[in-house]
Amino acid sequence: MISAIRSSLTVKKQPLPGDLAIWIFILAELGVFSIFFVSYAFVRLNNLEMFAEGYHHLNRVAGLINTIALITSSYFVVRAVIAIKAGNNKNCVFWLRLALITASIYVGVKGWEYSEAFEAGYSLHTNTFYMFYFLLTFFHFAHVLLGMVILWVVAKKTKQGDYSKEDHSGIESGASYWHMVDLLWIVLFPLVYVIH
Amino acid sequence: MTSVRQATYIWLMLIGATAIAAFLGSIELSGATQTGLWVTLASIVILVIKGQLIVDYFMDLKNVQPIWRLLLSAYCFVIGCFVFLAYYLSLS
Repeated sequence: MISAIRSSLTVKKQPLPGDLAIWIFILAELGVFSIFFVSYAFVRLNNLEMFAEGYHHLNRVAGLINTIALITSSYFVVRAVIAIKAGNNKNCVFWLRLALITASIYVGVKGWEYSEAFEAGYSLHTNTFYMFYFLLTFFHFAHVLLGMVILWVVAKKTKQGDYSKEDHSGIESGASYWHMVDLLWIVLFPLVYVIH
Repeated sequence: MTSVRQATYIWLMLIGATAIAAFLGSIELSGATQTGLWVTLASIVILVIKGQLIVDYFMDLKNVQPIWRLLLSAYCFVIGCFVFLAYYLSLS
């Protein structure tokens, strides 16, 4: 943070990865999620017992597995960007596919977590904690699914030769969106699965 | 541009930081109704560090126009401050 402020005072000229439009979209998405995050934290203030009880019913191992899956998937996307910058399309497709496989671990675990919660009788209408839990995590889940579609399209286009060492802005845009999904989970994980 | 070696180190650091955060959460489980102050603070510090690593090395914003890096870096920091403030108010 401090180094970010310090660097903001000195002018550097490396271009923004991907399209400017994706970064504006990312900022808008982060803004929407921030309302959810701050609301969750402050609504908890008036419902301490309810949130503590809800927290104790959550599957924290599932939360940990999902965090590792998303971080690893993001790492594979970084490797894909490095590969395309080196002009290695085949390698780039390999890393993007690996990222998709890792992301599907998240989808599987999250789906299982939801089915467990529904079977136990919890839903959006159970109480305020579960309303926030389902809304917040499902909104993020939807973003993961959208991100997976983007990665799949980018991998397909890379395989077709639509991207190259010189022209790979589409891959960088898709990668930036995917890292945003990861960044959001990095906030969501301690908020919902650690702090209670 | 992030190198392969750099990306791998950052990935391992992120996994390590996640494991520490998960461990901190688990040691608080033994009958405690609320997370301790220091565990909460540590979880938020880990959140901010992880966010900065993702912004700098995964999003590759370390050397772009500084305003973009600042906006993304400030995100985790500001959210972390709000979460801590809400937690702190719940103690009283």
